[in-house]
Amino acid sequence: MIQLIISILVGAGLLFLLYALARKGTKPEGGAQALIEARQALNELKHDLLPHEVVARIFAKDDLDYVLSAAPEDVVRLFLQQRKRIALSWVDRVRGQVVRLKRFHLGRSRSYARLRLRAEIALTMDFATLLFACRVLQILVFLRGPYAAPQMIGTTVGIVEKVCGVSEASLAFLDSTNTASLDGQSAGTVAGV
Amino acid sequence: MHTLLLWWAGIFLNALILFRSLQTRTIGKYPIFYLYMACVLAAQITCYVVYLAHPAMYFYWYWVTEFVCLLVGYGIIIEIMEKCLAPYEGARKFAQSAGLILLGLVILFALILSLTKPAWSAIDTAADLERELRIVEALVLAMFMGVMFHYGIAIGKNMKGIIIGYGLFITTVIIGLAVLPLVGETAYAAYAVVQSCSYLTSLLFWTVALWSYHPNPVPEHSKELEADYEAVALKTRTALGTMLSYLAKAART
Repeated sequence: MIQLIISILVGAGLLFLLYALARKGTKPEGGAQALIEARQALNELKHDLLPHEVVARIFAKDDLDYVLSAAPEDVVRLFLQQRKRIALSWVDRVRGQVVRLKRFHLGRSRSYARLRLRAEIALTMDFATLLFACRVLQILVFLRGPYAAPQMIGTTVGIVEKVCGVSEASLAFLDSTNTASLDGQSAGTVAGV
Repeated sequence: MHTLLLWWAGIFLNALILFRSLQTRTIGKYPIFYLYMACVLAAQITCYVVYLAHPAMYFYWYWVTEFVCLLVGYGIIIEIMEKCLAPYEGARKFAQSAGLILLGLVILFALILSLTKPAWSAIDTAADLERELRIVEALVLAMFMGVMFHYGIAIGKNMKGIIIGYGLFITTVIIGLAVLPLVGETAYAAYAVVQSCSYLTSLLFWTVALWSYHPNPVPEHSKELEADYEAVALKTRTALGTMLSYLAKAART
């Protein structure tokens, strides 16, 4: 019985992968396109999504306080609905850009001859945890509204800013003197909302 | 009658694929795959001859050819990995290490399973051995595809066809051989038809995909990007580690 279950699981898994392969394009990924995408992702994160004033505005508690004190109940409901939609869209876009940065990193590491398995797995796990954190944030905002986890939003912004910093250094053709400065920055500057 | 038709259709498509490989000179591009094709063609023809001349010998001859083809089939997986990952040194190294880990896990699992295995018969042992070898083959293929998706590696039409055709065939064999003992010996004839149909489908995939030569797309390389990977990977990891600890702290509050 165990063998039957294993066989069916392996068979079904392989079929799923074959289906995914059949749908996959034959166009090469990475290279110049990945560089452009990573640069666009960095620009969008730095200028559109992560600026403190943008994040603070989207998740501003004083807006809610004002609406609660001055507006009728249906206006409050409408306000919360719209803020929730904006917050979800914001998290979704941040997550999307992190995915693009991850692709950029993978596009580089796949060609690197001296790649170390342990480091690569650890890095993949770290990216996966960050993306998972974004997903958790999405669920929290979806279930409990845009004001559910202000601390976590602040921390996520801080993390993504650091990823941006590292990726930016990579895009500057990996000047090690640039990346060295990131170590010092990573501890203190977690953005608060 | 149906079985014979499937048999002849298989022989025809197999011969057609080999003929096209000579015509388009793709035989030199995928030598192990075409060796497998030649082995299967030889097996099909000899099985047919043995079936007509010495029906009693057919069973033994079938399993001999099946295992020879299975072993050459492992060569196809190696060829797929070599051809697809050749321009990607990092991904190739990752796949090799992951393959070794997978192999270790499979051996460990097989040892544990063999200690708990009930009594066996000759027919079941051959079928079991084939199924288990096919499962390992499927796992290696799945692992390779996982690496391919993870690193965003693109492949050409030829290679895609080889993988899809061979993967479909392996899947049918694995599931068929797993279900067979539950249904009983009466289902062996039905299984032979299912396997023939599955193999015919794979042959159709291969015929279409390998009709002409389509190499794997060549990635754009940047020497500057390769140069400092190690330094930046370390920086990324350090930065991510610090950030994640902050995130964990924030999630707890």
